[in-house]
Amino acid sequence: MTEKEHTGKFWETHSNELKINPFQVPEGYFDSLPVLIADRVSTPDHRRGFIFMPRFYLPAFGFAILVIMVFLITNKKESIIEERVLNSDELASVIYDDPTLYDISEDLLIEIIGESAGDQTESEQEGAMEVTPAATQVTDENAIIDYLSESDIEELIYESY
Amino acid sequence: MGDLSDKEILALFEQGGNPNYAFNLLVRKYQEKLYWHIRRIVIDHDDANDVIQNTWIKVWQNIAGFRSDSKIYTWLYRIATNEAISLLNKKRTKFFVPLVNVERTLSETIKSDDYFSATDIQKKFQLALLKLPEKQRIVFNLKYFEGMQYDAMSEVLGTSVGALKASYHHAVKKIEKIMLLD
Repeated sequence: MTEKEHTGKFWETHSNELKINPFQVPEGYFDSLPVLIADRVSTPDHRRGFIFMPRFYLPAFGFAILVIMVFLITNKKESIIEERVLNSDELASVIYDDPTLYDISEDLLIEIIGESAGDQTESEQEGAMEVTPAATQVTDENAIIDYLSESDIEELIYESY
Repeated sequence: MGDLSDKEILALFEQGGNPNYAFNLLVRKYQEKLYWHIRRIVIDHDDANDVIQNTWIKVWQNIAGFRSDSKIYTWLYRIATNEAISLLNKKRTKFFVPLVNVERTLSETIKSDDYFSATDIQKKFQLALLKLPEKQRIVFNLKYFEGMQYDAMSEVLGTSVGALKASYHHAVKKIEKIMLLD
């Protein structure tokens, strides 16, 4: 027997049995179904469309609340940033922490220091030309001691920087 | 009451006198055919019950827009088929279940369903059907159990007659193979 004959025989043999519907329904189901359907179509909910169904608008409402909250929180943060003024310590720490400061090359630093040292020397030389009474008091240690004695200052507090 | 033709029932709708009465006639005429068609797709009675009710609600909502040049029974079958497929898709989406697992779930339903009474070969046949791809299974059901013509089936499923014939042929061969192998 060929395969075609074999399979053809299968459908012939079992056709009657296979076409029987093995599924069942509860008793009286088809009598009650039209009543149930008539009841459902007469309920106004089914004419309003899916957008008004609770299963749709409850999640939509929740999502809307979430969006509003995120919007408010974001705006609040922005306004705080705008109004805040840094104090001197914070400003110093910001400058200290500024990574761009470390980008300055060593050669440039030496050059800047050299220039500032040169300026200082020049200003010292200019200062030496114009001797003021205050400058005399500061440079002469004996004069300082005399000044302290005259002013009744018993202890010299010396701070070195 | 059940003797009215489709055209006569549609005429009652168009007259607008008592659409509920006309709708009731339509439900009583087609409820069993549609139910069994849906049941063969979704297998479980409770699911079929949900789908048949949703189907009739959609029919009620859209009957005013139905064009009488089409056959109403193919229109009803199309809505029922789409609703049944939607239910299976929702199950897949809801539980993140891959395609093969839904078919396995349907097989388990057959084995444990209180409203399923079959001989061994009938049960084997139903389980073999569940191994077919979804659309191929629907084509097989419409042709084998309901004897639907290919042109009507084409209206229901929106597929060409040639493709439907090929699909049915493949389904028959697969079922033969499964039934003879086991």
